[in-house]
Amino acid sequence: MSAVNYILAVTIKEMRELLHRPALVLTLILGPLLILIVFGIGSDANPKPPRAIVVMPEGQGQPRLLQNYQRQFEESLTITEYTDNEAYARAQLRSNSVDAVVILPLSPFETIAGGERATIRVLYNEIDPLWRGLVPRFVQALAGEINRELFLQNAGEQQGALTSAADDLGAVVAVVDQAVEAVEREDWRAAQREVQAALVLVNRSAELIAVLGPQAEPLGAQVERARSRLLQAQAALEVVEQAVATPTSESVESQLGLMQTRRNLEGLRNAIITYTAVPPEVVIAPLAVETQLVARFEPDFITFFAPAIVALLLQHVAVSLGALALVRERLAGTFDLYVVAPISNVYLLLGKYLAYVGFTIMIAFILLAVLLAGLGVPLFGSPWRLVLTLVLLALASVGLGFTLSLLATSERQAVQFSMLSLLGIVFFSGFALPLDALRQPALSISYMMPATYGVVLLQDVMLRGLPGSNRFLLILTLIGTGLFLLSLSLLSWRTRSR
Amino acid sequence: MAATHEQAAPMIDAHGLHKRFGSTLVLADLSLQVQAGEIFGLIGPSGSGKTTTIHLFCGHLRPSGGAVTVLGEEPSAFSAAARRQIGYLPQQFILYPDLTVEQNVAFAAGLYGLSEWQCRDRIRMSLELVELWPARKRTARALSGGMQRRLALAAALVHDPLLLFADEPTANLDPILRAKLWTHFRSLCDAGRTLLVTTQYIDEAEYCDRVGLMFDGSLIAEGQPDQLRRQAFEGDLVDIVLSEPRAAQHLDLLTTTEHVGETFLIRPDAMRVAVERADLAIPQLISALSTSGETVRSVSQYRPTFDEVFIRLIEQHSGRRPPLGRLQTSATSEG
Repeated sequence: MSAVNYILAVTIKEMRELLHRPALVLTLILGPLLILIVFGIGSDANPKPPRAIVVMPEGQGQPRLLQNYQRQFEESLTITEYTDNEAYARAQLRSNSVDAVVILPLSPFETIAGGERATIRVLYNEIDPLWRGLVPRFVQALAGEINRELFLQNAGEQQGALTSAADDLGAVVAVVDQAVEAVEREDWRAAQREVQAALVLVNRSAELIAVLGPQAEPLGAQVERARSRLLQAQAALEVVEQAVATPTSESVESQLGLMQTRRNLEGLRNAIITYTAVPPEVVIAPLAVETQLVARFEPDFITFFAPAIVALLLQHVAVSLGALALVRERLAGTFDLYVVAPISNVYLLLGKYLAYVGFTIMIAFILLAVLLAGLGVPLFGSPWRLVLTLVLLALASVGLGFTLSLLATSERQAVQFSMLSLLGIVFFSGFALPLDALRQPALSISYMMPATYGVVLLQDVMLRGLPGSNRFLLILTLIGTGLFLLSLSLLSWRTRSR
Repeated sequence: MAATHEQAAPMIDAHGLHKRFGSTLVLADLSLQVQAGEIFGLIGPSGSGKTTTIHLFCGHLRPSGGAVTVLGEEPSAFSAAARRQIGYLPQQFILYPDLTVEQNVAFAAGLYGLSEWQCRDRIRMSLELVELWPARKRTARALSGGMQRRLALAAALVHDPLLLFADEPTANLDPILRAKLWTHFRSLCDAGRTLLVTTQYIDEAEYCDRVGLMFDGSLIAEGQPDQLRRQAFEGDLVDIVLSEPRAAQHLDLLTTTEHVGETFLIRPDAMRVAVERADLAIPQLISALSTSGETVRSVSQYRPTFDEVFIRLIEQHSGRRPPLGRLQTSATSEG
């Protein structure tokens, strides 16, 4: 009459009881599988653009902003309607018929030309804290896209004007060279003619740049600098013009003034050539970001959530079995048999433990086999590590179930505990929300639940192919959690059955 | 039979047992001894404390007062060796409905450390005993109430216990199966086993070596069935039938006769008379009636049923008749 006989008797009984319910086994395997498949088929990683009504300024027809940037609007928003009735649009928003109302400014281009920002106002109606940022994100993207287009257009125009100015400055420099030669020859008439010609060209360049106006982004600084240096050149040439007009003046002074102006203009021309040599795309966004996915592969929804589903199912089945088992026996009166029989409470609990661990692992294996063979979910890591993870997860989960069972005074309460544990998995295990999004005390709850370890370890072994050493501390903590829960249930069990 | 065991140490020895649930006293001053190799029947109406007594003997409950030893040990601290000698058949069916009959019995064996593969013969014997071997592959859920009782009995006997506590083992069984079970209990007893059996079926007292009658948490009488009969009526009962319907006129006359106790009118021409000893009293009764001018048509000793015995004992104990319906006299179906 060894301990093995006692433990085996309970284990075999429990396994038989479970296997006598094929519908339960089938539900436990097919249920999560079907949910995963439907979720995978029916989910889209990219959130849909918000549904929006665009409110146009009253009585103006389709504004130029929409005409010019229709593609950007339609890519960023699912526009359900255009209207000039803001009150109507707001009512639609209140009734949640649309996600956002986009109110276009009255004369955006004129406002921008006047040196002010034109504002697109967006109203949105969202109570989901996770999706509350979605509308602003889409609208910011839209504004960014339009701004970029505007910048690109401006940069092109500015570069065109500056190129023309640079061409003119090239001619000015040639004319100034001729003026210098005339001064050297003391041919004052010719010198005056050349200086006047240079002045005309400088004035034209200044006018070309002046047309760009005060909104001259994105090359505003450069344009301003060119404008200022042209004015200086203008002033200098006017001085020279006066000097050559009176031949009594010192020819050296005129020559020096012309040489200085020539250097300035040459410098300005070179600077402008440099500005205009840069493509407008680089001018408006000089820093580019290049991202590269270096993951072993790019999992789809089914593949990504498969390990988490296995972890969730394993904990839930184990906790439910554990939570219900003891309380059901207590309520059914079966404990009366155990009290009379020589079997010890420890053997009884260990027998149940083994059975439930075995059963949940069996369910997990079948589910995994279907996932790996049927749905093509990969297993990059070691199969042994996968088995170890499942065993540890099952041991800890059954321990949690037994602990809950000892707290429950009725079957209904045990079911409630089991449901609470399921809710805990959804919110705290990293299944729905990444663990990084959690703070204390939520994080402590996370690490009290075996499924949290399961999600991480199973994703590691299946999808990332990482070695066990990578998560050594996590594995140790899971073992510790399992031992703690087992000891707790044994202790409570002994205390309560005295 | 009980007399042969009187010298041995009792299997169950209870003195002044009390049990309270909160402020409610459910068992008061219970003292009894059950000797090895006897069938002790605890009989009484529902709520009389029979099941509580069994729970105290099995160690499910601790007494609020008094002392009890079973197999020489205190039930709340049974050793594993003592537990292996005890079989327990609970009142309710508490085995596993999803397991087959055979698997349930195998599990019960496992609770006593017997490996299923090592005790196949015992499992079969237990099931054959209760006539469930042909149904061994059926799940317990698919059994009738009576079959479930038989299954529970097989599970209680599979480890061949020395002492069996059977809480209403015959409840919901048909009369034929009840008789078979009692026959088996007798064979267990003959093989040296001891049984403490509770029942609401008063007529089953006949199957017991000794009987304890429980009422309202007290053991109001205890002894061999015939002793209880005599205790109830302070002797034997004699039925006298007269040739004329004038029995009522002679009741008082007979009570004055020597060795005669109470008298009862059972028909206009017949009466029942309690006497110390029937063989000595009958000639005196005939003589007394003849002297008063009556012709006695017949005289016979009456063997009262246990219904009558127990109703009488309860009346004596409490000064009132037990409530109707609390005592059952027979089972009619297997459920």
